[in-house]
Amino acid sequence: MLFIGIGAMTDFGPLLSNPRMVLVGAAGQFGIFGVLLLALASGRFTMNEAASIGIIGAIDGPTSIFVATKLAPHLLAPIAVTAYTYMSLVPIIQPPVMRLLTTRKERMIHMSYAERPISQFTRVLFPIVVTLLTGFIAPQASPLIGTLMFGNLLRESGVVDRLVKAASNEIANVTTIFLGITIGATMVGASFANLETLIILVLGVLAFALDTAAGVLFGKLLNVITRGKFNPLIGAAGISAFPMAARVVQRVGQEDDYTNFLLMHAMGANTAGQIASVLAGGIVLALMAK
Amino acid sequence: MPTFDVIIQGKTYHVEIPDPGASAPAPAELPRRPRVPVARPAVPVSGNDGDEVRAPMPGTILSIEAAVGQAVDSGQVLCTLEAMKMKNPIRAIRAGTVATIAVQVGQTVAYGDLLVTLA
Repeated sequence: MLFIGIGAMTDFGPLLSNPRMVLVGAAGQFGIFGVLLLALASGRFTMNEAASIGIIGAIDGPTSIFVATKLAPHLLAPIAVTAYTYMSLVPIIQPPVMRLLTTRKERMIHMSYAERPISQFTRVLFPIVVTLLTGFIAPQASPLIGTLMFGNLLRESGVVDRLVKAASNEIANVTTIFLGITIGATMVGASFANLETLIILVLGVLAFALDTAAGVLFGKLLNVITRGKFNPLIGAAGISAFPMAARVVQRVGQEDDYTNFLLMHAMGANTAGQIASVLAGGIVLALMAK
Repeated sequence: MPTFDVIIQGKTYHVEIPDPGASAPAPAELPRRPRVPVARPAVPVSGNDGDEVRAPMPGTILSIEAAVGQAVDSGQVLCTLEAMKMKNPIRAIRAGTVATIAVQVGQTVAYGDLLVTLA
């Protein structure tokens, strides 16, 4: 239900006008697999539990919850808490990693912004095509992507205004409250106040840092390929936290050059990150289900 | 115009050489040009040469922090552009005087729209 709301709120325009951002969104999911491996290496978690913890690296609350309920329901509480806590800390976790991995010169790269009008037809077609593709490639991701895209289709169709409003406000809000209360109710002392929760908290912050690092490094690669026309900071926006990550990119970029406006590019990467994280959740589910 | 008769290999060529004084006027006029630049400084004042501050992305003008005629420093906020729920300060590229403000609070601007001109 929540995904319908998110879909209804998301404008995929910035992504559609710059489709190569999809790659950045994919790079921003690296933390999932990095942390999955780390969780396994710690020896304290089973494969399913490790996958659920790894999905914190999708930096997407609802996806983390969805995957955890399927794979490791007993870890739902710490995973949800970790995912949401760090999501609100994105503006604090990301900048140091971004600054560490880029040079001042790279951060000051200006990117030309070409406003490409996107036809209504493309906007309507996009959610349908993505849903179908997901169904064929990763059916397990269908419930996630399908609801997200259904919400987006409501929005872009432009004919069901009341449904869009309900989905993006009332439905999303009510679902969030229920979700919070339900998860809160599972936080029984015995299952929450233990070492595992602590480890998950540590792994969670690692997942966020890894996502950011992978995104920025991928941005550097794109910068090399495009011969210096791609600001690596954009890579950090290839995560799901929307629109926070894009704002962080804009802010860090402006610290060095206040005439540099990366926001719209970062928004493209950010929406790509949203889709990619939901897809990644589906893929992890698909892999674990076997 | 002086004329010369030049004989080359027995053939006589009638050569006219344009008056050196006549060709000189061109270079001679060049030094006179500085008079034009003297008039030039008047042009920027009219706003033609002043830097134009344009919208770096589409959005809505949230506030205007400068007034026409106000002297601004480089980096001073001229107006705030809201895009994607984020307030973006638009700053002066150089020190100068605000010549014109092309937008109003609440106005939606597209990428590249003129916001402010600096003189």
